[in-house]
Amino acid sequence: MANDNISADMVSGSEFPFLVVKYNVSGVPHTVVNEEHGIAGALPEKDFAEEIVKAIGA
Amino acid sequence: MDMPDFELDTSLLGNANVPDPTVYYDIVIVGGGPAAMSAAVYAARKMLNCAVITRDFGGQVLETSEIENWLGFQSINARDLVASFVEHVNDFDMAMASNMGVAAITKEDDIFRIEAEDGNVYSARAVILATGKRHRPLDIPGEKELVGRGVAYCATCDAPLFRDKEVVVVGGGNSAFTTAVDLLKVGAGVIMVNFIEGWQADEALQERVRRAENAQLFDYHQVVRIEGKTSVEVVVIQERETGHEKLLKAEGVFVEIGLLPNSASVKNLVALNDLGEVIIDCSCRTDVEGFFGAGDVTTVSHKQIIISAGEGAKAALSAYDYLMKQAFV
Amino acid sequence: MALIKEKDREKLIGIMKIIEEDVKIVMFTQENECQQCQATRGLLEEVAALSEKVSLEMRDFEADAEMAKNLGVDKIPATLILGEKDYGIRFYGVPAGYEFNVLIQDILDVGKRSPGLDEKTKEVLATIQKPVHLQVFISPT
Repeated sequence: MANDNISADMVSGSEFPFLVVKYNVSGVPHTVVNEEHGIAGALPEKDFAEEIVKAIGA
Repeated sequence: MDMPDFELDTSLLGNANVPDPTVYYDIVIVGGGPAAMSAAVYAARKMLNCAVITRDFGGQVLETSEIENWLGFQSINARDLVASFVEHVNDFDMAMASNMGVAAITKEDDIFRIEAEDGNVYSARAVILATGKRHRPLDIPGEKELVGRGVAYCATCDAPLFRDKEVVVVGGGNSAFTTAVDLLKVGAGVIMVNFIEGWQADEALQERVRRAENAQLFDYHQVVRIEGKTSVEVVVIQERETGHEKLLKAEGVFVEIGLLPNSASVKNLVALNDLGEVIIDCSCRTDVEGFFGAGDVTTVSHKQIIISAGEGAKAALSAYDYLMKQAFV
Repeated sequence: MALIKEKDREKLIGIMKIIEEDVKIVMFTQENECQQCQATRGLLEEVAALSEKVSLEMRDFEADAEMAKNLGVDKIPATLILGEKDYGIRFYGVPAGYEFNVLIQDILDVGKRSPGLDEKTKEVLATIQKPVHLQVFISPT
């Protein structure tokens, strides 16, 4: 909601195992950014936002 | 597929009442597990002005699924129990900050300064530390890098992800074997590695793992390093007797080698024992006036949910006595 | 049989009173409903009934394929939460366990038209100028 450029999906790993395999998810929570980058674990709010910025900047 | 469970957990919903750095609270409670929640209830009912600062609500209780020794219930779901604690505390509408760790606690004259991770410093006349324990890491190369990418510390949370995969479980006690059982149940292959000789878990648990087809056990072995590019691929263990290394192909490593107290924030404030636990007396007092400890982070003889709840209540009542004596309230 | 427990229903009705603006839940399912879609639909129907401001619109993944494509919905069950516009909030899979609470929190946030984030976080997010698609994988415990 904070930025119109951002969309967020919650994906149930047990219902979509092909995605778990596709993105090599081996721990939850695991966030995939733009189908490419991965952020493992649950981070404090601001840190999470910074990781997203880092991932797309990279 | 069983009918899914839709359980409302008010601890997960945002709280409007957040702690105010300009207020001098009677008590600040650091933590969100059974000790902290019990302390909060008791403090609130003494009409004290409290604030709770915690990373999460539930603490170690969230790592189990069913609890069978909480008085009054043959078996109760861990999440339900935590939700009931938080709901009870929520009824008092006290200031609460979650997803918030505490970096350090100091004492200036008679006031405690609680430095939170968001940069704010909160003030209180008394503090109850109920921060519990966290999992002891292996502290080996590859571990930190691969946490969440194969390296795990909680089977209840992560075991389902390792269906049909090979997983190393490090440890020889009940936690390690329980983890192994959970993994075998989802169809994972389990390789147990224990640093010391033999296996320390209850025989019954050990049996369940030994009987399994896809379980291997290596005692008197040390885990040397974990390798993998983007997730765990190989776990290198060393036979302690010969120094001979074995390379295990695995996609996961569950570390179950004990717990460490979350007492870093007070290591320069109160006395800790060799294990890093906060030293308390039977009234939950520490060697610092106005500072109390409750639950697993302390030297309490046994670490159990029901004991923590009792300790939290004691700590709050002791804190109240202290505040009364100081004529702060 | 109700999916939401009676005691939770009462609490939710109270909690959802803070919703100020209309919230539309859109769910994509299919004619031959699988168990997950059925469970999700049942839940969302119950949730929508708890507040006048929350409505549920059911869509078919095949019959409404065009709409699904436009909304970027590529798997079902899919639950979308919309307010004055589409914020890009999607739930793929049954929102059970922990996720049920996330669903409720999102409905509350949309209903208040405010994501409830720290100022510092909002500052960091404001710097993002290109599309970002986040997929958060969870296991429904």
